[in-house]
Amino acid sequence: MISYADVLKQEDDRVGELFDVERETLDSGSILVEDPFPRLAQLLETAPVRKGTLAELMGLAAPGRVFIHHMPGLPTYTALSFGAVSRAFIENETFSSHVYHTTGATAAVGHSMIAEVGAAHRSLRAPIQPLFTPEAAEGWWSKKIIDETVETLISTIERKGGADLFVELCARMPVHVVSAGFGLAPEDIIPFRIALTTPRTASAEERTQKRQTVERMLSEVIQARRRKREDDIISKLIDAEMELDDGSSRPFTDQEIIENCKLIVLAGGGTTWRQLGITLFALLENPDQFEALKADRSLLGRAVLEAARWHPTDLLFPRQAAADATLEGAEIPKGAIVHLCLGSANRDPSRWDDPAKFDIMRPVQRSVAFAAGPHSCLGQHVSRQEMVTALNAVMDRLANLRWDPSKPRAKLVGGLFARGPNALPVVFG
Amino acid sequence: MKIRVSADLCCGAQRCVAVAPDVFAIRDGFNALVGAAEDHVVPAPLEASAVRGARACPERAIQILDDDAG
Repeated sequence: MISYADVLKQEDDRVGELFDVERETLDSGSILVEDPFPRLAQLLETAPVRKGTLAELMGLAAPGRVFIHHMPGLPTYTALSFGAVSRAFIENETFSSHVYHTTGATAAVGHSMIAEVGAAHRSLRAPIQPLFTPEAAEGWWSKKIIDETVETLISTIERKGGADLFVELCARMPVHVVSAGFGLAPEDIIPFRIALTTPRTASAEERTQKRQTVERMLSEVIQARRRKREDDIISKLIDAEMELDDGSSRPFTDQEIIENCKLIVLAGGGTTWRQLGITLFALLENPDQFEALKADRSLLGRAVLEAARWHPTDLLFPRQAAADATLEGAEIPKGAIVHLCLGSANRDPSRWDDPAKFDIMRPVQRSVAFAAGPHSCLGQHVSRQEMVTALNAVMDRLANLRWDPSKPRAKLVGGLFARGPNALPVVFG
Repeated sequence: MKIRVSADLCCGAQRCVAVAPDVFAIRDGFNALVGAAEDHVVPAPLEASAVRGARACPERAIQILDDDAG
């Protein structure tokens, strides 16, 4: 039997191919967007909410270009200020997550809690929430898989003197943690990820085949755990009870477990790696702050939050007006798409001084890096725990860490969604 | 019993409102997301409800303060 650590010790070319921000962006139909933040700051100066898609407002829209969560042809407004974005996330019955039916995301990825609103959303999320609390992240997730994963990866890296930390650490850790946490077998982790990610240009046949692979792999785990429970998330979901509107309760169906597993494994393996990469990028670019952090590890939690404020990997999420609504003075008609721009909201000068500056010493204030409201990132505490554990290991084990002067300087790349470094070439020792 | 809601931790998930609507409500304004004022005093008949609301918070933003501490 191959162990989780065995899989991580092997070189695996598929990881570098699968986790590549530029390729991921181009596969989505988007163009690569250079630093979007100066333009976002200009837009925010004009109004808290503007008519137009985010791509239109940034002057990026053109025939043939596809941007994630954009619906050309439907009236669209973009919320730019922290107040507008936070409020729209919180008022989820008005600025509705049913948008994912309109954008086609539910047809493509499946019908999970991400597209539900109100009581229907609560009854799906409530039984899952306890598995992702701060206590669960620091306790179960760390002991079960985060600590071992980081230790295994850093032990391999530290022997080398140099590495691309983006591929060898950032890419490998989260997909491994979330997949192992759910109960996928070690050798299935990367094949499952490959089946879960589909380029926009994939044929209908390929899509069907990939979806069937994903569902078969999950069904096998669910059936095995129904026979014999293990210490994993799928076993816990089998035993969870969903409370219904009438006060009665029932367990999840297999299909509900499958859809929510797909969502969480896709999100867990697909965001934290980029956000950890952004955090390491910001620290390597600001060596004085990196030194301060090494000297005082109590700053680590806020450094992670500050990096997520400064540059959240996803710059926007969509909502749809369920009724005529007003948002920070803007009249939004029923049916309109609303782009909630995390990128501009997190650098709102009415909330943060010198907002473009990455500064781990600034007072912590909630940003919308993990959204807000009922759909706030379910996995954020697990994600933060992964980042804290990985950064501690980097600081403990890779002495004198710095950019590799022989390699091209790393940069942050991507589109309007799913941004991150192109690489993190470092030397140490 | 008193409860305290941290405005920095509260993300407006509204789980507290869902399980304990007799204690919690969303206050207007993006920066003050929870109805309970700081160190809100909970009347005895609502204490169990307040504890349920605090336990439901995904961010652990609601603190139950002992009477002694208050």
